[in-house]
Amino acid sequence: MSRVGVFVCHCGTNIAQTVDVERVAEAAKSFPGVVYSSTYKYMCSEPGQAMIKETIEKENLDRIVICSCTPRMHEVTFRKMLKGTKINPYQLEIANIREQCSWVHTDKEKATEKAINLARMSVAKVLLNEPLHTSSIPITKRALVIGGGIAGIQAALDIADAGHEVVLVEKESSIGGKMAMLDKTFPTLDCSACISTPKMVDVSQHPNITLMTSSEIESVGGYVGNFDVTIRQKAKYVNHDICTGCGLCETKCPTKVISEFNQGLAKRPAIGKMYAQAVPAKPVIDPNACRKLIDGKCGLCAKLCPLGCINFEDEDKLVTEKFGAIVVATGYQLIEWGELYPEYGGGKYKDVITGLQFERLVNASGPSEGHILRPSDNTEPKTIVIIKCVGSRDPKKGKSYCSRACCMYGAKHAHQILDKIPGAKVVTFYIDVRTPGKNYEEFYDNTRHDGAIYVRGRVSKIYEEDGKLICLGEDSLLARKVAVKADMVVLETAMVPAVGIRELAGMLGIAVDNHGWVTEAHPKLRPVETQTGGVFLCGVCQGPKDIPDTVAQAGAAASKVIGLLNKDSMETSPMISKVDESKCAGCGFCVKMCPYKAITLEDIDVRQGPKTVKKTVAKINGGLCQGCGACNVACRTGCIELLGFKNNQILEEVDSLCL
Amino acid sequence: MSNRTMASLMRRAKVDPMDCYQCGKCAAGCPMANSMDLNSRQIMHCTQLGEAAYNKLISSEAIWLCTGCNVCHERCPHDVDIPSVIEQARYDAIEKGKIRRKSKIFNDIFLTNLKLTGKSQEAFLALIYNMVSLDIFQDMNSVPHMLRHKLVSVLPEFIKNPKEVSNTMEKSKEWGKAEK
Amino acid sequence: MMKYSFFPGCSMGSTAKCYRLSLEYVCRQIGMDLYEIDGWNCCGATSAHVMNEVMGLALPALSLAKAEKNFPHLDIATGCAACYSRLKTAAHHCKNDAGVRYQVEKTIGMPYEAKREVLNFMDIFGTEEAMTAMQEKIRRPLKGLKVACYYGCLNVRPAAITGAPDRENPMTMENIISLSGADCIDWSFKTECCGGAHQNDATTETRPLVDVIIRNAVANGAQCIVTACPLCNMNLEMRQKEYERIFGTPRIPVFAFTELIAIAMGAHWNEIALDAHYTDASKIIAEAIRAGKEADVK
Repeated sequence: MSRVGVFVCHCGTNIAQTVDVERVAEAAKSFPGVVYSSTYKYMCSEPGQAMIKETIEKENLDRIVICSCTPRMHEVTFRKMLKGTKINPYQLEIANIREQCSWVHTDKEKATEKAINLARMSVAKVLLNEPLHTSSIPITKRALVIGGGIAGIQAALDIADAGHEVVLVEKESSIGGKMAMLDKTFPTLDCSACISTPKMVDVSQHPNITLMTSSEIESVGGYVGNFDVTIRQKAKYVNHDICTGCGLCETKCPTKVISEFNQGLAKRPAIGKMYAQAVPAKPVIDPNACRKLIDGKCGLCAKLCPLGCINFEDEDKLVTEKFGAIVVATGYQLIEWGELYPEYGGGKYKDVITGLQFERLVNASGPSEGHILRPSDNTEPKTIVIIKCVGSRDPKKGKSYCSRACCMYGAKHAHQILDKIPGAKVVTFYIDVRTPGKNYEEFYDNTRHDGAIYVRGRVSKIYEEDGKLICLGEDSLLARKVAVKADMVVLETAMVPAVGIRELAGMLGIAVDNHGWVTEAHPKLRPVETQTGGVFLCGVCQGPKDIPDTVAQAGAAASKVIGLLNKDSMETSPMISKVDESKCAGCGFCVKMCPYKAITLEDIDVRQGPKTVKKTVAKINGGLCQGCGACNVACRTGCIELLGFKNNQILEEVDSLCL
Repeated sequence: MSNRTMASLMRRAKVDPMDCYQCGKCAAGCPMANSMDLNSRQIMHCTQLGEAAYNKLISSEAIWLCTGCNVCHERCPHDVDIPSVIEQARYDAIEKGKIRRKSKIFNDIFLTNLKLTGKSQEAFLALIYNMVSLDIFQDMNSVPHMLRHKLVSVLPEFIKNPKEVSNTMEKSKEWGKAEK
Repeated sequence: MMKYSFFPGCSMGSTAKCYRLSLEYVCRQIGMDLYEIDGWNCCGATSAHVMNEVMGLALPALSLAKAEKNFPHLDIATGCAACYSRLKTAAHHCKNDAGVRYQVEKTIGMPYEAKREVLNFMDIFGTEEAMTAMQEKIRRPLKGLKVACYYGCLNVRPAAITGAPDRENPMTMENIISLSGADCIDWSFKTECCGGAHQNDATTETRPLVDVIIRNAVANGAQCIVTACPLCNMNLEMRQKEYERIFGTPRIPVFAFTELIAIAMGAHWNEIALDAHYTDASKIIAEAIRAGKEADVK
């Protein structure tokens, strides 16, 4: 005969204010199997846990139900507590009477009734709980970091410094990401290159880091501690083992194409480094631009190269490596605003530029060597309009979210214009100014004192007349329309996830939200984990943020990776699916359903009377299975059950409520 | 919104006033904004604040100055159908007898003429409007040109069956929804 | 099959004389048949829907119901942006809202199923069939004439009613005008409001709207403006002397877009009453025809 104990938590007043906890405890005494019940102010606290442990001993309990908050909050806490007792940690049920009861109801009578029912269901289930045991899997002590922006760089350095091997994969020919394009960074105005290039060099020289540029993830297999990742190293057409990065090849290349790094404001040769401070500091050939690769003519660079590094026959290589942990740091790009905003000219006005283009204009290593000049005629603009929230906070045309960094870099742009162009006039159109960061508000304040005019209103239209870009806005604090005649307009456009994030997320088995931002395991308590064990995230791939937040998050992700890699093996959750092979028909439905690729079909030998025959059955990989239960529902013969959530347990819960 | 008038406005206009976050893009593009006592953004604000502000809205000139060009709705980041709100506010204003003077004169003349002939007669309309509104000379310098080129006729024209039109107009009023 | 029910609207018989004559001319040339709705009535314009919601839908629905009865298989064509908007709004609501349809049918005393589309003449002439037919009839290309195509509001907005794919920079009228050989300029006020009916009852407020439209057309090099609506046309054209006096607005001829096509097809001056315009256009047209001939000789 089972002996169940029920412990009802007040959670201060969180539960007790809306639920009569004493009545719940009293009612629980009458449930089948219950031999003890009581209440306490904070069950999760140290005295609370001590009280439970003591009661287990005293009342000789063999399973318990705790009526408290969501199991996502403290199930793990109470399982740990049970490890020191004679009860198996899985002989525990949590009845959620807070999030699903006291917090969402106001009628105390009815809430109490509901709490009693929730407790009744949990007691019914716990009676059928079986002891479950964790197993352990070995861990490969290497980490993969995907994305070589400041987030990936920081994560890679932190993991490598802790003594673990790291492979950093970057799809471009150089690491550095968006930060390498920026001129100065708010609110301190330190030079972006000065603070990021040393880190890039550290990456290239770190004994524990292998850098794979011009590379992309091809496929991901395996599970936490034991990922098998295939990486495509795209052809560089330059042998980096012997290339010294002298740069001679770039000088005579006859083909000039739009420079992505300079955001279309300048041209680059078909062979070359991405930018002067690129890491690795060696050139690659752009196969979409190179004449030799397109129609077999030219080959000038090969003739110039003193070391014979150029190899037009180079091909993509696929390498497969093992990793224990993966960090996703794929960052962002700017929204394609042109087709979304025909009212801003849709891209036809050369002097309507994005914030990132402005960064290249004002950057000493940019196309105008740091002089702010209009792209159309290379003259110095005198009146500049800055428009914020282009594509952000615009669910109809762009994205519903706030891109978070634009208010600050918008203020920084205004400051830089006023600093570099004597007598310049800057008009910033804003809806709200958001400066929640250390010294951010002060920076914005200084910008206004510098002379930037802030007009509260979203611009409705930009058109050209007599050589001026006329911006129609409303000064909503005066309720008057204004028309600012500008020489140049800077649009602070929305951040959107990097191209290919959905495909990558599919390979990794992690979720993205409807915008494509990677979803964290818990928005507050597990901010750098994903739902897939061993896959972590950092930087803007999770959602728009600025450099300080990105670097902090990269450090956090790295510490999680280090914590994982420091172990030789790890425990796996025993609450995973289990196949009853005698009933399995081998239909393979579950294989298609499984989001974690944890199920495969396998042939096994079964005895049928005197004979042994082959039979195809589903096989669960305990390392990959996350216990989501999708296969249970898909299984046509009902042969898959989720341990801890077996069909009879769930039916018993329902019966206890309904019968 | 707890208030019944406001709830009814929301239902009729198919707009949730709280969708508006007062960015002002509507007013910025509105051709009439600077002539309005309440611009489109302020109009939405009135619908957000409740009954008292709404009463101010239906007494405004602005709802009668809206040309219905729809630029506000077209560019609104939250897809708020402001012309629909203004339209419903006008019906509420009419029911309370609050109509801008010149709008009332113009619309009354237009609809009376329509009821009699079944179509609109631009020249007559302009002439009568000028006399009633006391803007006697408005657009009158175009009249000789119009007459010379036979752009307007001297006698009123009728459609085949003006009675159908007047019946339709009378029956329309039976449903309520403003002018009775 | 280029056949349509035709809702002329009130202005087509009076102030929009040039528009109607040129429209009919182009239709004759390309074999397009317009069947005037028997017993059509005024759509109610701005006044009806401003003053009474049901009236604003019932008046246009009355004509639409007659069109449906007389020519059940034909879409309905109209040349006026305001009529187009009122007719299309009524059709849209009757099609998508059974309650509205019930009210409207009760009011007009006729069934109306809203089965056919309401189209403006840019939709109609913009089809491949019509474009090809027009192209074949161009005999006298207008060379070097710089044209600003003006759509106004109601031909493109609201999007839910018109279904226009591009409301900021539509190009259908440009495509049609290009057939005439004229050059369409890129400008920024092609879908800005001319003031509509408020040019009558809110003159001080609406007069400046036309000033900025004309200025932008001229600033972008236009020699003339073409419209697809009698009211837009009148608002842009009729008071230019007044604008010149008050705002110093430059003067510029304003045509219906069908007029340029008709001229390029060889229409005689009088056939389409080209002299009925307020601002003399004979010079620029004659120049464009001359340039067209010269280019042809070369």
